[in-house]
Amino acid sequence: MSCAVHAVGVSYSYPNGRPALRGVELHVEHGERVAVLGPNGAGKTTLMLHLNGLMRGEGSLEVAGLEVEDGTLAALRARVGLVFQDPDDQLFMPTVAEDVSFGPLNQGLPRAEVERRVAEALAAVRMEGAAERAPFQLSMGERRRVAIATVLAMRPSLLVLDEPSANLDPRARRELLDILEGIDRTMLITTHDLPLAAELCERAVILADGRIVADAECHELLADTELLARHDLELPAGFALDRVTRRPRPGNDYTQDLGLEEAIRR
Amino acid sequence: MARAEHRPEHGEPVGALCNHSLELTGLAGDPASPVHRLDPRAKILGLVAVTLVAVSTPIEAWPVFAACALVLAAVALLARVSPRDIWRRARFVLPLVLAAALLIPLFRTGGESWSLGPLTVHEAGLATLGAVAAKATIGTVAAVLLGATTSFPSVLRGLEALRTPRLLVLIAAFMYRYLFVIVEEVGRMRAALAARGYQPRNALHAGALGRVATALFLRTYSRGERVYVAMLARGYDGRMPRLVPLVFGRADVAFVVCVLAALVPLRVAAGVMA
Repeated sequence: MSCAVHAVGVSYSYPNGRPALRGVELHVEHGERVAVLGPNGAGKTTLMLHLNGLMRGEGSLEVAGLEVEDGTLAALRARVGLVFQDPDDQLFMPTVAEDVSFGPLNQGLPRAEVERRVAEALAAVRMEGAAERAPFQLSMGERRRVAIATVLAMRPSLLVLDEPSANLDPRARRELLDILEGIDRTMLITTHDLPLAAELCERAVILADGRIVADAECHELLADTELLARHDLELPAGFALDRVTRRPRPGNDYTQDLGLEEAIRR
Repeated sequence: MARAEHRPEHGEPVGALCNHSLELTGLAGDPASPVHRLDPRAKILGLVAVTLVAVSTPIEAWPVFAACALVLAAVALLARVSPRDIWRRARFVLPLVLAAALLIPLFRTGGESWSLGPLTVHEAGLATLGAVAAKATIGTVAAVLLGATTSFPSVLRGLEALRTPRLLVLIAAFMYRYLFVIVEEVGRMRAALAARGYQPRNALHAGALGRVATALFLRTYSRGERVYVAMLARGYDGRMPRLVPLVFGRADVAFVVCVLAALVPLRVAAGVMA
């Protein structure tokens, strides 16, 4: 199954007429990890909401092998997993286990399968022990990881993360990186945490003022300080890009797309 | 792989603000007791029955109140909920109700009357006070026992299964989930006000609080929208899916039947005598 993104001329204006996206051209292939960089207000979150059909603009958008249109929304939402910036927005059920089962249950999966997926997704983010805890009892780092689990349980082919390292202390950020490293999925990460992009992604694009203004190999793009500065981005002072090794892709694919097609058909 | 478990990171997130109220919303007593393990519907039905019987009984029929109290005591004993736990939760509701009821003997005339300084107390009023106090106490303790033996999410599931309108249950569920988030936000806003030297001394200074309330409302409103979008992103279609179905078993039937058998005949007899 394709998990690519093909956006051609995607434009969107807020109801008050202010344009957020002005003709986004973006093509992501199967298995790529792409960082979408840009300052606040560049349209990163708006673009992310388009990938799941939660916002609909003009232009043509094909995600995970589906045109984004009324008839494909349910299937699209099963294939594209969005992890929102504030985990408190994503975790709304009384317990972690109930929250992680929310997506698979909406897909109409049988109970045994849902339970299997909950266990598997919590294991993937190293939160096995938290199944019966309430979201408000978790730290920010733990909430973020559970938010990722809620999406992994749906076995999406494309994972889209919005500012995954926001509000995390160094240790929680490190754990998050370790976890993301182990997830074998096509990934789109919107962030202005450039070191995170350098460690995780092969490719980076810059979204500025509603357009993709740069698209290159990640380290190459991050080395272009002038380009970054022009779009209000910068690496931390003294950051040695050439000493960052990109994390390897996982060898074990813990979640095959087994059963996903059936789930969508139901 | 338990390295991430129960680790105090960021200094126990909500703890400082909410621990006191969290304690009182959680379970009390022995979580493995037969009462705790009942289906939430059985407990809701049983304890609502106790309350209804108490509320509908005239004060002259005091044995019915005694029976209600005995049923509640038996439930508390089975669930190992201590009188201290019951009092710690009931004290938030009961004094308010009783304080209002204390005025009744002054205004309800009838029977003998006694004067206490400038006030006059009437016999009929005292009788009503007794009835109100007994009914309020029984109703409160029944609710406390339900809350102490059933987690809030389970109560909501029970209500949902008992055909309470789904929208009301959803609203209560979201309130429970986001209450803590909002309390945190209020705490931060209050700290921010205090940090800039805000010390209200008279009513004119309250304007800032109005703006805090407005800001809080707007933040909560936009959070509501974000939560809804996040639900849609995971395929929400208007129904709350449930993993584990509720099971109304033999123990649950037995509980409800026992409660009804202890109270209904007495209540009916009281009605006949009256």
